[in-house]
Amino acid sequence: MSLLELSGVRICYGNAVAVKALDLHVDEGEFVALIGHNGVGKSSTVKAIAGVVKPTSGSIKFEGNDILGQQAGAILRRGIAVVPEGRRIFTRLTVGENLTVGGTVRSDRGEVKKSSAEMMERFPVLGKYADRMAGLLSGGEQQQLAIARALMSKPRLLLLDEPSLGLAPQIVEQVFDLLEELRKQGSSILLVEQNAAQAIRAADRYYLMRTGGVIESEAAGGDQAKADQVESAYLHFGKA
Amino acid sequence: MKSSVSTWSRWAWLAGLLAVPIIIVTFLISLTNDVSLIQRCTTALILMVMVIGLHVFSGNSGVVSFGSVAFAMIAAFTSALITIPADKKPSLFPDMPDFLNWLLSFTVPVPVGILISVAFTAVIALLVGVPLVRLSGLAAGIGTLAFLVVVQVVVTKWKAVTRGESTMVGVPKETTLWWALGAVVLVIAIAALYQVTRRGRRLIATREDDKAAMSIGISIPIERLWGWVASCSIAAFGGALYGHYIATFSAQTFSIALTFFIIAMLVIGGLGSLTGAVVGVIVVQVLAEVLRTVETQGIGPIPQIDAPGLTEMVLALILLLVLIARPAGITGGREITSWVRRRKGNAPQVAS
Repeated sequence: MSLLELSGVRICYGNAVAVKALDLHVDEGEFVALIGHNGVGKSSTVKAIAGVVKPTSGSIKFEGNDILGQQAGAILRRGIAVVPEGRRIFTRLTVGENLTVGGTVRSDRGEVKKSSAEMMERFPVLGKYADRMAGLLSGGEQQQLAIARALMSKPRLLLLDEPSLGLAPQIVEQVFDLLEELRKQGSSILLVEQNAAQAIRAADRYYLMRTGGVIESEAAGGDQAKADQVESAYLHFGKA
Repeated sequence: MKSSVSTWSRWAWLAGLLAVPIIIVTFLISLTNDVSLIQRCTTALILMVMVIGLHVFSGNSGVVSFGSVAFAMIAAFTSALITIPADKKPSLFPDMPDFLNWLLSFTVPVPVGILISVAFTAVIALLVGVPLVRLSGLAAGIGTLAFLVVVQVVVTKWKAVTRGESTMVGVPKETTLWWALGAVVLVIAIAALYQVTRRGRRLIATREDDKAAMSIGISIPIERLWGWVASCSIAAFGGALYGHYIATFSAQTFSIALTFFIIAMLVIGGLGSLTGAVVGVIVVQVLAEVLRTVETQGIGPIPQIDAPGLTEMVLALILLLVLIARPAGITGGREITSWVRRRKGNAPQVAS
């Protein structure tokens, strides 16, 4: 059984169809990338999984349970945490406070502090700036904080929406290294990215989306040639 | 690795750095034995309680409320009704409706009256808050303003209970400079505690980015409701103290003008920080004092300017200037603790 399974998901905004029919699955411990251009329905897919928009048809199952139509809070409690596009950290809370509010849905309140300390060990830069306003961190540090904040809810699946957006190439490398590290530690990840080459290199599998549906799905697993090939084909779409 | 500063130490620093200077200045003022100065200081301290009350909700949630004075009014009238000596009540409230007749038969000491009135107001705040916290922006502003108008109309028209436009008299005048100081220290401690603990941080998170807050499972209505009830209760505390300070008051005392005065203090000080609430009251009160002196007798080389309304006009201009030049207020929405930390050499890194 897959951890997350989407079948025939269709998302419409009024008459506009954002996603026609999407099939996708993420297995336990797997790192899956969903790549595609702007406007192909990637973010709508993230929103549908997270419970922010409701698909018009299809099914979304998490650990075998139908989660379609459930509230965002309920889905988070089931174990899907989202790292939103644009990081969206709380700039006027300290790094430490950002982490503790990340544990809001946890029932083991006493453990939240411990988890926060663990996060600071895992992400040393967050430990270093624990008492600093989060808005003073650099873009890459903020992205680490956004990921750490999502991990604070102890998710079974981490859903990342364009984590490389607006970051310098070098910082993007760091973010991808971090994701690979998380995968090695056993996290299940669904990464939604425009940065196709890097996403394909890092992920176990990828789905390539084009206006409303998946057109290609393959195992990637660090295959440089494949990544380059898809990227050039993919870039070609953009020019077409 | 640097460990996170404990919640308690952050609370102690924030509350201490704000309260200690206020305590010192109040002591110095009390030593002057200048009755009029002491009176003004007392008024400023009571206003500070109300402004801090407003900050607890509006500052932390980013949702402006025009309703806090309504809660101050409810508490002032409630406390008056139960603390006016029982023997005076029948002549003051000859038309008291039957279902409230029990109010005439007893009287409680002022501190008890204040406590009861705050608790009663908190219940009303909870009931009104349930629908109000679902509103944001302009709708929330209008909703809270509407509540203020409703309370004003009820208090003005329900003559049998509130004495309507004739003032409430016979209210024990017990609030002193020391009571007001104690109240300020208490509410600074409460507001600072709220801000550094889980509940307050969640409310601040909803102010910073509501969608991100929802994405990590924060319930915006629930967090706002907590802040709202705490805020209204503190405003009620200020209102009850004010009632027992001026001793004669009517619905006009808790007017829309007072509402705007309180909001102006918070905005000038800096919406979003407790320090802003405290600084705003001090700056506006000192400025108002100077302007009033100019209006009545002149200060040093400045001759008397016989222009009634000068104070209000200049304050309004300053509010405008602050809104234009420094929308985040004098403190920029920062807490005093962040300046102290910077002074200690831990300069913040420039964000990229």
